[in-house]
Amino acid sequence: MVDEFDPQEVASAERLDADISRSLSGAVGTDAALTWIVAAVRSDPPAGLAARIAADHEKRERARWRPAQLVAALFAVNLVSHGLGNMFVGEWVSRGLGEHYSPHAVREGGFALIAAGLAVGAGALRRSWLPVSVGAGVPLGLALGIYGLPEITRFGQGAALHITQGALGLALGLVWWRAQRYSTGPPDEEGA
Amino acid sequence: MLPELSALYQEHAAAVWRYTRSRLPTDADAEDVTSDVFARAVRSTHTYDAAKGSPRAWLTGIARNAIGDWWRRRKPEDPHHELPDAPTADDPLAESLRIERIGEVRDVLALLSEREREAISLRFAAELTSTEIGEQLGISPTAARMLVHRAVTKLRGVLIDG
Repeated sequence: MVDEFDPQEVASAERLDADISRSLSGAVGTDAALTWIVAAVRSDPPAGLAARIAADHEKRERARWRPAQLVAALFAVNLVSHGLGNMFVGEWVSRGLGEHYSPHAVREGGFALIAAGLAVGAGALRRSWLPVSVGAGVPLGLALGIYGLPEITRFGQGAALHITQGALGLALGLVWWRAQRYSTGPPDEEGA
Repeated sequence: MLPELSALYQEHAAAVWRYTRSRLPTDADAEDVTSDVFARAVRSTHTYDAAKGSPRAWLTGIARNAIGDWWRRRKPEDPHHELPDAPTADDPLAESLRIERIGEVRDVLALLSEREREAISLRFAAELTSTEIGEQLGISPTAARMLVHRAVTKLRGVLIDG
């Protein structure tokens, strides 16, 4: 870029620039105009601005992570319900699938599903626990979703449950990924 | 407050505040935009490149965008933005004088072109160097210095002539 300015004016501008730097650093100058401009613009931020920025930030963070927390909560309810179903209506499920009912294995599977549901639900309670929800929920949801597809022709309720789990697992992964894209670090604020 | 947000605020809040305040009609607008600037900064800390300039210049760039967005969003018929700030401080007299002075400054700066006002805000409020102002405005450091020089010369004329 080639500038064509009057050399005298350029020299004057450079002197002024140095004077401005001195005025901004607090030196008392003799140039009334500079003193006036510096005094005019040097207002301090309002006392409550820091708190306001912190509150705005917290509000935005809450809104950012809310969809992931909501999906985690829904998935947790789904998994815990599935686990309770195994424990209390396992025989009916086995009949629907046309399989031999094994109470011991079905109940133990129920305990595992409830435990997985609690892990997935942890992120709904605290944002900092969402990675646990995602780590547990996404692979489990996708696996259950794929595993349950053949049930479509055999046991409608089971197929609906598994497809829902697959969708929730996928949704949890997507909304969490979308939220953390703009994050400067792991979600670390208190509470939901 | 997040540690990175807190550190940014501690170091640069005054410059960002002064710059936004010099470019917007009221304290409330400047507070909104300053808050937005820090929110945008926290979201985009990964885009900051120390080789390309100081954190203050980077924040000022964000502030310029936020102010541009604010003016684009502003409805011309919105009467709120035509009203001066009401005194709110514990000392109403001091607050009134401060508001009066802001009005006076605005009247004087209105005599400058938009580009000159921007240069004055960048130099005096954001405290950027000529090189940084040049980068913000897409001109050379010399051209930035000349812009500030001509603006100050105009202001000096107004201030001395009364």
